[in-house]
Amino acid sequence: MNMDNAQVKQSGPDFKALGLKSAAEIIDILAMLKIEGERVIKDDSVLLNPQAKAKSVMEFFVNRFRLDPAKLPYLASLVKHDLKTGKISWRKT
Amino acid sequence: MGMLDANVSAAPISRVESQRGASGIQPNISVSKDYIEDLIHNKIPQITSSPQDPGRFARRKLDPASENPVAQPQVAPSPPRRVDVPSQQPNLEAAERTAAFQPPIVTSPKYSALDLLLVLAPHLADPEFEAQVVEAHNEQAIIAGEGNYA
Repeated sequence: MNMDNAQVKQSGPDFKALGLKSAAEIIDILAMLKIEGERVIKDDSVLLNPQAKAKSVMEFFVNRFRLDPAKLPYLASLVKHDLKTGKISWRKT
Repeated sequence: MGMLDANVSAAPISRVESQRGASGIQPNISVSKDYIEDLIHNKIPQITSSPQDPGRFARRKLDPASENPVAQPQVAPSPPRRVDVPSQQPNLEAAERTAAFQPPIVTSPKYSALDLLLVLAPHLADPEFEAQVVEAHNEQAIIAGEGNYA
């Protein structure tokens, strides 16, 4: 995954304004999603590689929901907000 | 006795298994497909559309009722019309106004002698004229009770 960090920072949204701490947090939040029983990250070995993890998350949302990767920070922000407000919750089973 | 032992020994194991995720590595956030689609199609456009309209927040601060699309045209057209009319006038009118303008500095006793001298600067090449002006201003200042400026 070739990404120019400088360009991403200049053209991307303000993470602080979205309530996010970093780009890694975006991937971490979305990687933990389980949609209709289907995990976003299917291969656990990907979790150990941040770049592969980010690539898997992007590919999942692009292929499944046709979501522009640039919109992923907004999606993660909304999920985090709903987690904080209790609209959705963690499942440990 | 045997049943009790079985229950006690099985409890910790099941508790540990329940605290693990489905993969045994981390917990999950289980959501529905409709929830994600609602975020993508409804919530994200709301977030991304607002920063592209910088005046939206300014209008909210100034006038909360401006969100009403009917009220905006009633307020907006009048100020530009008032501004555009004078801007379309040629500069000749301003030049005429400038030429016809006579500053009230000379006749007003509120201004200091320095202001008076600055206004009359083109005439100050003549020392007699300057002396007359200063003397006349001093008379006005004395009458006004402001003291002698000489």
